[in-house]
This record gives sequence, structure tokens and C-alpha cells, in this order.
Amino acid sequence: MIKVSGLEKEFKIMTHKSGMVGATKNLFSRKHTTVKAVADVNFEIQRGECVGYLGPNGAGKSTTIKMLTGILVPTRGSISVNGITPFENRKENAKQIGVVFGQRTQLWWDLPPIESFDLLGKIYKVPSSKLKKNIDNFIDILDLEKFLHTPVRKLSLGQKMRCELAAALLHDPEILYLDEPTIGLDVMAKDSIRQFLKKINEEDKVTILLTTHDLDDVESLCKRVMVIDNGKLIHDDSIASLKGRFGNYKNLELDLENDEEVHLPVGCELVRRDGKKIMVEFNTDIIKAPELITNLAGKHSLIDLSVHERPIEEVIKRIYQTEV
Amino acid sequence: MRENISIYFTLLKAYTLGQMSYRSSYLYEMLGMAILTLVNICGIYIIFETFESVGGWSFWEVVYLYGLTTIAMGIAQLLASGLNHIPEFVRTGDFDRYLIRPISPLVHILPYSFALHRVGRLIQGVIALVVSLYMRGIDPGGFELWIICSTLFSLMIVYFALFLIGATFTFWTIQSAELFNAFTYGGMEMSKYPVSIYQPWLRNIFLFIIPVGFVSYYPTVILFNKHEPLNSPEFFQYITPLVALCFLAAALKFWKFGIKHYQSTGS
Repeated sequence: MIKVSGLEKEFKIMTHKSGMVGATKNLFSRKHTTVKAVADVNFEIQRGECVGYLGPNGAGKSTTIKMLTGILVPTRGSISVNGITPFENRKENAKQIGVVFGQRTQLWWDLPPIESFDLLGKIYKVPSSKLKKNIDNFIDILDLEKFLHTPVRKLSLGQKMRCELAAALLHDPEILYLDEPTIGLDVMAKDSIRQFLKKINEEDKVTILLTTHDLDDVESLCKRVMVIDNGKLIHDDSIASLKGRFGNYKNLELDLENDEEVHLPVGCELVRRDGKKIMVEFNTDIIKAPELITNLAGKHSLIDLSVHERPIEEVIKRIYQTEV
Repeated sequence: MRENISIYFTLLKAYTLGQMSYRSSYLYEMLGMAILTLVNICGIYIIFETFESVGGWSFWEVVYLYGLTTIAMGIAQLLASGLNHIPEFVRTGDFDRYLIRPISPLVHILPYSFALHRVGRLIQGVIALVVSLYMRGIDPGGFELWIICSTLFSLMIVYFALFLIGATFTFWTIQSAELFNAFTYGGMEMSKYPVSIYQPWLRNIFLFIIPVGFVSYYPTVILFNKHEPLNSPEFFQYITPLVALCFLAAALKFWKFGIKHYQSTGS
């Protein structure tokens, strides 16, 4: 459904000289440095997939999404979305996609959501019976009724995001691009948005590409994760394989009775220590959890312990570090 | 096209309703505009006090050009006022949202703000135009009306195109856009007088590169039956709407080219 090959985007950045003299020089001589925001990115996304797109700030996530949506023109490479090249046929492409930018509203600031929906229906030429059906449906599942007639600028972040989602889906797009959809939201709001996305992905078969900093988003929604760093794709596979990529690690949290020195067996590493609280990371290929616990319980008196999967944050941090 | 116009008016209605609360300031602004018009016409009068005629054109003939320019500029500004927001959209990256919609970004942005107070200026232009025609003793028949209307239309199109070109420059730098606006407003000042009075290099810029002078000067020569000192080909007098539309087409091409250079902002 989405096919991207050899995709690159370079930005020319003007080098500014500072001060009055510098500013005058800037007027006459423009020096550019070229920055590669996206470098040779290749991937394919099938209909109905929900793919997480991760990477640190400035890695090229948003730039990729902006090229997919037709906002930016790639420097090199090709994009095909359902057979359409977005930057050449922007308007055609717009009809089949929905876009939500977490930090940028698609709604009209001074208008209540319901009027924004009507305007969007006109812009997307959604037949009025269908528009009404879709709006009613979203009011129902996103629970928009209470603030449907309040100007958007007066809504809370969570309310606004629910409206954004409805707005992006009014014209029944086949693909939904989400750029940081849960940014700044509280746990409850995040959860309701995830449930909604899961529903439209599973029931309505909307293909989703999602960038986020919140790995819970990815873990609860996506089976596949792409990781980009410095403009290059460094991982494109399942979440499980992302976790497995650096051996099978788990974390053991310990509460000691006494503040004493701890001797760890082979395959373990002390991650942090806060007085009697200790966090140990261990490789399950070398030492299994019961073995490790028996070992430690024999040497120290323990008050409490718990074993966790290594959080995906850690995994990704590792990937970034090894790439550097 | 019809769909675009319908979307334009739907958006216009939505935006304008949101602006109604600022109505009291409209009144003051209109008053300010009225005083400005008066000062401008006094300025023209003072020139004629000293020189009697400018390049063979009488006071009322120049007031006619002034009226033409004011009306055309007024309508163009009214239609193009949404373009004023483009530098801000480009700087903040909000322009993104106009590129992910299935309609032209222009249809989307033009109705964004509608500077209703500019209507006051338009009215003053109309008064200047009507009075000047009366004082000059022109009795507008079909032919005269056609010339006046087609000149207004052409001049308005050229100004609109100039605003569009200026807005397009912001896809590169804001400064270049401001530099270009010097031509737009410079052109407005130029077309208030017959272009034949200017130095050839300056005249040629506003006749053939930025055709503000072209579309206002030649038809007015016929209207007042003036001697034409430049010895331009006679058909120039009849092709002004065509020249204006070509200029607009070029501006639209440039706009589309500019959009491809839009760089957005980091998130």
C-alpha cells in the first residue's frame, strides 16, 4: 500500500553571521550547508498494518511523514501511496489519507468542533448523509458530545486530540498518519486514544503509521516497529525482535535489609543503586531468573524483589548508543 | 472552479463571523482612510498649482488615475488579505495543513481574513473616479464604461498577482518578500500618474516587467483621447485584460514553484 524506496531529503541551511556587519553580509552572500535529514530510507507497509515509527528528536521521523503526506518534496527516491506519488499529486493523495499532528491543529481555532467538521466535510466533498453518519459515529465512540459546541481554543488537550482524530477520519481515509498523537496527554486520555486507534485499525482496517516518543503507544498498538536515527532506518521488524536484538535481558529489582556490598554472579550488571534499593540487569542466556534469585538470596537477606522485562526505552537507547 | 468558489465563500463566512467582534475599530480605520484620501488628493492639487499640467495631463485626469488605482488596489487587497498570513504560516509551519487538503491552498488561505475596513477605501476611490469623470466632462457611454471597467479589472488582477508573488517569496526568505513588496507599493504610486512622465528605464519596468503602468496608462490614453508621446503600437490599448491575465498566470506558476520549495519546520 505504501512503498518507499531510496528516499532522501536534504535541507539547505543558511549559515548566519551574527552582529550588524554579519547581518549585512548575509544579505549579499548566502552560504548554505546541506543537511541530510533522511538518507536512503526503504520500506513497505501493507494494507491494515499499524506501524510504529521511532527515533530521537531530529532523527527524520517528521520529515519522512511530511514527504509521505506530500508536504515536502523528496530530494531523491520514490514514494508510492496506493499508486499515487504524494508530492506530484498532492490533492489526489490528500483524499485517501488522514493526518494528525500532535503539536499542530487541523481544526479552526475560533470555531466549535462541529463547525470544523462541517467545513472539512465540504473541503473533502463528503456526501452530507455520509458526513452526518461519520460525525454521529465519532461523537459516540470518542465521546465528543459535551464540547461539540465549544470553540476549539477552549478545549483541553485531550478533548482537542479526540476532535483531531475525528476530523482526520471524516472522509474515511484508508491511511492514517499520526505524528506524536499522545504528546502532552495524561494517562487516561492516552488510553482512550490508544483504544480508539486500535479499534479503527482492527475493525475498519485503517492502515496506521505512527510516530511517538511514548513507547507504550507502540507496545499497545503496533506489531511492527521502524527505528530511524540520523536519517537512516536502523531497525524494521517486530517489537519482540527489537527487544531480542541485544540478547535477552531482564531487570531484577531488589530491596535489601542491610546497606551492604552486593556481589553479582556472571551475566549480571548493576544498573543503579539507591541505598538499599538495587536494580540489576541480567542476560537470560547466561543466567536464569530463579538461579540469580537463589544466588542472591543465599548471600543477602532480601525484603522484596521483582523481575521485569527490559523496557523498550532501554532497548532503543542501546540501539542509538551502538549506532553512535 | 465552481466548487472552489463555493468552498471559498463557505470559509469566508466562517472566518468573518469570528471577526465581527472587532467592529468598532473598523469605524476609526475608515475615518483614517478618508483623511488619507483627502491628503493624497490635496497633494495632487498642490502639484498642479505649481505646474498646471503633468506631462500634458490635467488635474482631473490625474485624479481619475488616482481613483482607478485606489479602487483596483482596494479590491485586490480585499481578495488577497489572507495572503498576509503566509509569512506567519511559513514561519510556524502551519502551512503544512493547507498542503494535506484536497483543495488548492489558495482557496483555503485567501478567505482566511477579509479586511472589511478596506471597503471604506474603495468607496473613496469610487468617489474620486466619478467626480473626476464628471469634472473632465466625460459622458460615459457603453464604450467608456467598457474601458473603465476593463482597466479596473486588469489593474486589480495585476495587483493581486503582485501580492501573490510577494507572498510566494516567503517560501525562501521573509526579507526577499519585503523587498518585493517595494515593487507592489511602488507600482501603486507609479500608476497614479501617467507613466509617460517617468524616466525611460523606470517607465519600462512598470510597462513591460510589472505591467501596472501598461494596464492603467494605455486605456486611459484612449478614454481621454490624449496624445501618446511614447509612440507605442496602437493594439496595446486593447490587450490590457490579456496582459493582466498572462501576468496572473505567471504569478500562479511561480506560486506553485514556491510551494515545492516549502521546507516546513521541525516538530
